[in-house]
Amino acid sequence: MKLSAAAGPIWREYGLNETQIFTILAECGFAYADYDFCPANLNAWLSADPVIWGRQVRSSLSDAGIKPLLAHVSGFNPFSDERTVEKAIICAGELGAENLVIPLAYAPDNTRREYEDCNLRYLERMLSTAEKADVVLLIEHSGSWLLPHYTHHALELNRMMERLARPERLKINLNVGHMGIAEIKPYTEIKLLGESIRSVDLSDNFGGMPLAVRPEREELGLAPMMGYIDYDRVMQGLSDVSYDGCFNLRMNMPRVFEKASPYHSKSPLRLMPSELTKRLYIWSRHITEHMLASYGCV
Amino acid sequence: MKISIARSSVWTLLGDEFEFYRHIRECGFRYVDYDLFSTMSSDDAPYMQDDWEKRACDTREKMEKLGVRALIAHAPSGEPAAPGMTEKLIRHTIRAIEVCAVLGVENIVYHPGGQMGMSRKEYMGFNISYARALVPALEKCGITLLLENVGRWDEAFYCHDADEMLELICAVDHPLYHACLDTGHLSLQDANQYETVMKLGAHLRGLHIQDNFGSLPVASTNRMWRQDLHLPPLMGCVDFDEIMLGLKQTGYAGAFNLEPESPRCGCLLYDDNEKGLPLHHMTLELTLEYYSCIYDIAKHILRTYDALEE
Repeated sequence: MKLSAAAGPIWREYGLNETQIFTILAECGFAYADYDFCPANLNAWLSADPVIWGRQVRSSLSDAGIKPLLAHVSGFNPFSDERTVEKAIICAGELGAENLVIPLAYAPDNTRREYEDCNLRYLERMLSTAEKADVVLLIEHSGSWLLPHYTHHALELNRMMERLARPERLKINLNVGHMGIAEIKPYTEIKLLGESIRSVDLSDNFGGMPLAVRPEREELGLAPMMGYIDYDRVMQGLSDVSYDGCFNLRMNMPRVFEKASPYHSKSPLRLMPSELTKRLYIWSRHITEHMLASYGCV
Repeated sequence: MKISIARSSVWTLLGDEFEFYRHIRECGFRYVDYDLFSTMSSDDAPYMQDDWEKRACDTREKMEKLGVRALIAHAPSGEPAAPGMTEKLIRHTIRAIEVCAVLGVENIVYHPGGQMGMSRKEYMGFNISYARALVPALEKCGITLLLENVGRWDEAFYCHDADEMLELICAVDHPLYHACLDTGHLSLQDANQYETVMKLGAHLRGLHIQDNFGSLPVASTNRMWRQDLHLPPLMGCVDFDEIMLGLKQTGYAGAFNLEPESPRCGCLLYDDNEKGLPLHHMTLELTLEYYSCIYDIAKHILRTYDALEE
């Protein structure tokens, strides 16, 4: 399996450019990167030509000595922002990412039928772009009961895959953190998804929340084995379906303190020094390597 | 401030007190929070036997050889107000105070007692009597007893915040009775850390430094284990700038005492018969790599506020 890492949101806080961020990931021992088309760099890349942007990113990654393996487009609702996803597909092709994880579309109060139909039409359009860009699109477990998604379980994802019937171009990103939030059994999910799984996003959390008050308490993005996700079942499941794809570390740790203290205008501890963050990334890589070695997947 | 560390996941993993000291020393820690919490919960505990003093002397000697010193201690676990527990826990805590004297530990931290259905007045009455029962041992040994903030809105405790702690401290009114602030427990109240430190002022003699993501609006019986996470500092949403600012302004002179229980040792989702699974817990090597980072995170916090004492 190939081990990759996303540059978590904290790295941008240090004022580093993309080449510098990817250089740090390479120094942390990662040979492969997960590129994020996230809201943090939305204005920059959305206003650019996706072909030119993709080539620039490819050059940045090359300068840093790290290879693109996959990319994520996240933080958008394609229902109102489909063009963003389309541009990301073109860009992913140019930057050399073979796989692109894309969000599913939802509308407030959509029924299951509306959700499915809307997403099938959207995915068909995106698959056409992906064909030209030679990119495999990946969908994943999405949302929680707070959001009007109907892809919480493998059966729902499989149903969508079957209706589209494009197994070579549309596959699954197994987002272990999302499964943790949905509190579903990872082994069963992996067995149901089987060969459709093309990449695995690794992170940890403490499960879903019973009330809508603190959604930020759910997707914590901790290093694997820091929360309550059952990684033995995850690894056993992947081993049993002979998974041989990408293992992608996707953390949001350590946190960047958002709240300004009324007593402290400067908040010098808002951001951990980059050297310590780097050590935590190296430690997380070691955890992931340990997980792989424990199940004979190195 | 000196950096110290409580029992933590490393001890749980090793299962041996002195191995814990040896390994934690390699991570950079030279000071510890001595654990009498989990080691003195029954009358069969070694420190409850006749040879307790010799055992404590041996422990002190071994710790010195390993290059670690205890600055603070956890008092024996148990619910002081539970039926049949009060006398036993007083007996154990008195012995713990005596052990602290032999070990050279100046402060011992305990949890107040509360039972469902207790009124605030009953709660205060019980805890005043309980603390006063320990006073003779404190005076004899010259040890300070520190009251820890515990509980949530839905539990039978009335020592949630600085005001409630000060109410009890002032009622007990003894020079060897002060406060220990648990930053994680305070976060579960969503109370302001700076204001709490400032209010406790000179009464603040100990810290349990840990992080989490705040309280959940659910009853503690439901998902308490998702709240009191005992993450290392700067991993959750506790505002350590506020804490450090308060500690500097009040001239806090105690230990910067870390109380992490992370990474988890055995996920709650596992059954007992699954403990042998390869990822049931992190390896010792990985855990120590993490604790070495935790030590440096604590150093960073203290250095940022020019408060590090090696």
